[in-house]
Amino acid sequence: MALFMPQGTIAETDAEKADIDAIEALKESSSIEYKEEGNKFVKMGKKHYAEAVDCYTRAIDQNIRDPQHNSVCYANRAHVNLLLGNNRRAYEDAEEAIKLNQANVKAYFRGAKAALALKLIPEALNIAEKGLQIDPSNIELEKIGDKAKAIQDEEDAKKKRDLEALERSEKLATLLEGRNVKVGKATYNHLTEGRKPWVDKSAMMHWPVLFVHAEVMVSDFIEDFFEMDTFGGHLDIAYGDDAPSLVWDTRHEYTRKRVELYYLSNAGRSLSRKQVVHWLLENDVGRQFQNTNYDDDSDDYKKQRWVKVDERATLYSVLSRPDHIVSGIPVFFVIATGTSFHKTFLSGGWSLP
Amino acid sequence: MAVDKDLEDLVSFLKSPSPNLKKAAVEIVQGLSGTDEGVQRLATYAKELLPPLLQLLSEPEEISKPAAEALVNLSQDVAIVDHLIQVGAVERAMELIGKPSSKINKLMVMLLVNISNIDKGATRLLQEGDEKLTGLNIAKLVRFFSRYSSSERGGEDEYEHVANILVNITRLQSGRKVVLDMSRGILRQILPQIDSRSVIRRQGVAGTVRNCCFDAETNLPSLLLASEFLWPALLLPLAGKRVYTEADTAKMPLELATPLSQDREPETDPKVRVEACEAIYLLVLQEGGRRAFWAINGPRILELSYEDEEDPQVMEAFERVGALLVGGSGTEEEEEKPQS
Repeated sequence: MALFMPQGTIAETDAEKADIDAIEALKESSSIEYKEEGNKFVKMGKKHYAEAVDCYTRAIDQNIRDPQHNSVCYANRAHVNLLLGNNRRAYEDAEEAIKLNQANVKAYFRGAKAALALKLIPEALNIAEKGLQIDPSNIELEKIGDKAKAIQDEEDAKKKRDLEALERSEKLATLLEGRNVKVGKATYNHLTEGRKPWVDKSAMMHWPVLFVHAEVMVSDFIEDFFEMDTFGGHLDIAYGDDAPSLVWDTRHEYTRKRVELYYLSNAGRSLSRKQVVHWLLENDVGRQFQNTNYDDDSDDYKKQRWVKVDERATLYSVLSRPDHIVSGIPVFFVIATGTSFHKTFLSGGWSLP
Repeated sequence: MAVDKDLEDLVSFLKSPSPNLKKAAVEIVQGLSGTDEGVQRLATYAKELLPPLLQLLSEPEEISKPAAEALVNLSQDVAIVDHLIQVGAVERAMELIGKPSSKINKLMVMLLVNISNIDKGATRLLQEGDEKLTGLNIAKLVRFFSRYSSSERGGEDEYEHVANILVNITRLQSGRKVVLDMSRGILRQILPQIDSRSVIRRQGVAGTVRNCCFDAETNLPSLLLASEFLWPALLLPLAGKRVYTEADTAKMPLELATPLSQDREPETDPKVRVEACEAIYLLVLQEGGRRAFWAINGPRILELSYEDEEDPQVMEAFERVGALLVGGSGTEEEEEKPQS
């Protein structure tokens, strides 16, 4: 009679009650059997894991009224799922096992392990902590908890570093805007190892600057050009009496008195603030602006020409000129008076390779 | 008792609808304010006296002018300034300054000079409390200061005393902050006034810049990024009338080289020269300021100016700056050492 009663109906007669008890006993022994079979399959090795899962599932589906037993079934299934790499299922099984029996220490361990594999760090920490409350001396749980904490600390530290870097870049971008210095796509980074302008403790700006000898495409890198330095001072250092001689300058034309500096006006399109911040964040030379979509100069109708730099001017005054777009870092082209190249250069007969 | 009664009557006459009565009363007040005893007497009745006086400022000239003069005289007394601030004299003056065909602009500016002489008044003028308003008064005053010099209005320089207001407010850090705020461009507006015919303007600009340089440590960019105007404003007054050779100016930026190579009027006021020296001293105390000063060949200008200087106080100021520059540029690069 009880076999045909819908689930949930309450037995009324003694006969019905007896039937239900009998069925319950049957299910119990079934479930236990399935569970033990599952355990056997697990011991038999990898090839039988799927079967083990199946057994545990059947054990669970018996739906007997023994939470501790059911908890073990879920916990064991979690274990196999972990071995199979089904981390999500293992996690859910472990959670269920814990729900059914809060004292099931193994369930906590397997749940924390699964959470860690799923990169659910806060959850892993939470489960490990709860487990350690039940069994404080459990070394495995401690280890997992420590591992999770370590990962979280590392992530927090990285987040902090990234946030600080972003803050610095935003600040620098603001300082550039305040100085009316427009930055365009970086073109010579391979020569300057991705160096960026920087700010000293007085909030004054320093730039890495390139002097390119156009005639031979040999460049000179100035590490620290303070924005208030004049060009004359740096020319003194590079070409003055104490300066090392230029190997390629066989005719000795590039002397202090004869060198002139030029920049290319409207060298490119100026970047938006967002792009500037992005560029400032970049550490790697190669990965510059892979996602940013913009042309070099084709749709830029502003005329480009060589503008002579007054060597008595400060770097800041030259960079802030409306027609000056800094191609990542400031680049100035060096030519010498009295050379034939000088004429070629200025008449527009030479262009950037 | 009699004193009180007289003043009581005076005050009520100030509020009278009859213009003749008002005029007579305000002229009496103006007269009283011209003497120390008179001021003391009026001070006892300040609370009642000041509001009607301020009201009269919008009357026709024959009434508003004596009212304004009385207020300027009274504002030389520190206790009265306190009252003035309380009854909104700062706001009233700002409201009236710059009104077309106003005859009391100069007096209103002078009133603000006296009020801003005490910290409380300066703070009020700076509108420190309200973030959105801070510095708006100053910006307005500087606009008038730069736009209308004595040459324009053909006669009276109504706004020259704004220079003193600026010196007063820059005694406070909040005032320096406003003047140095690059987005307002106040510094760039006032620096050219170092050339003005008015010694008050020149003294004011030099004094304001000097005050601002006290913040050179924390605000160096605000000062140095204005280099194009700043160095000429500080160095030309010191350079006297000596005409520099090409060799001397070879390393100086155009804004210095050009005037220095020409005939010019020297700065005759020693106070201006002392303030300029002190400002340079404060700038050169900072490494960035020192480096920037060397880059424009500033020490050479100081050297030659010192040779021509005769005023002992100014010479002392020169020596103080000189001491800071003796070691060379202080950077790793070799720079020219000053010749002794």
